[in-house]
Amino acid sequence: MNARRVAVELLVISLVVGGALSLLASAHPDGLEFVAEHLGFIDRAAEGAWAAPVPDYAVPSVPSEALAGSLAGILGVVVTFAVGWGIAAALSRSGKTG
Amino acid sequence: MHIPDGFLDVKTWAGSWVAGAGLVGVAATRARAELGSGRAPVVGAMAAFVFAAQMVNFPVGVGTSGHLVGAALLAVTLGPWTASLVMTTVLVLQALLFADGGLTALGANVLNMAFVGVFVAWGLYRLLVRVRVPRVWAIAAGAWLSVVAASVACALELALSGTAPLGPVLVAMAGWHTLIGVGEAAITAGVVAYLGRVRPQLVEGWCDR
Repeated sequence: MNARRVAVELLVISLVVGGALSLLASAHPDGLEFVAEHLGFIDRAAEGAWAAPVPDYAVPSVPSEALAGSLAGILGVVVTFAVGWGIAAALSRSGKTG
Repeated sequence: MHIPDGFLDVKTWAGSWVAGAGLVGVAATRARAELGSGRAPVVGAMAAFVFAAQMVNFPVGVGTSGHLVGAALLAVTLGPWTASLVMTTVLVLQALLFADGGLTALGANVLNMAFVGVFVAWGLYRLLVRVRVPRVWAIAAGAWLSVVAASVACALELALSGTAPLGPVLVAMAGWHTLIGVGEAAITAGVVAYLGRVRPQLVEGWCDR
């Protein structure tokens, strides 16, 4: 199996899903939010101490909502790919030496 | 089902952080045995795919939505310990970069999706394959139960925090995620069947471990 080729294919699919298909996502609340609204504890949701740079999957100060969301998806795909690869590479290296 | 800041009390989120961190430590050790040489890029790509798929909410019933969690998908393609680490990575990046899931609630989200979700999926999948259920159905069942189990864990944490009474929150979370889990099962089975057709080595070799 050519692992690199599989990785590239999966990455391209991920970029399409995160950068384009995500624009079609349902805006309805997810299961937990829906239950929180229904049972009356949604107001407990609080802003955390950490200010995320790209809140709610929209790159700030991009005028087009679609473009802001698309860029956020592409950014997330690239970062998770790099971090996931890095962690897996570090673990398989340390597994061999130790 | 990413829990935001504010839903959990201090004892619950702090306890979840301690438990989650301990399990991540165990997973980091155990994942080494699962990681073959040269697979790191595929692990990264699976992380990226799960991140992307989690952005795509599909409508469920009236007024609510769900998205793929991906615990079962990661477990059958990468092995459960690697799956837990990958899911943890996705959850950490979602909280840090996108404010999806609170930082205080990160430990609980990791417990629910990266450990309860992954190992429930893996356990049911292995059990069903052993009794000769066709693989794609075993994966679908594992995916469905993983979502329901993760939602039950989430409900228990909310009840433990005094955020909602146990009975109603348990019934509501498990009830909705019984439906959302059908989407999880369909997408997971579809993706695995697709991977099995275009890249049979990928799914077969990794599922049998």
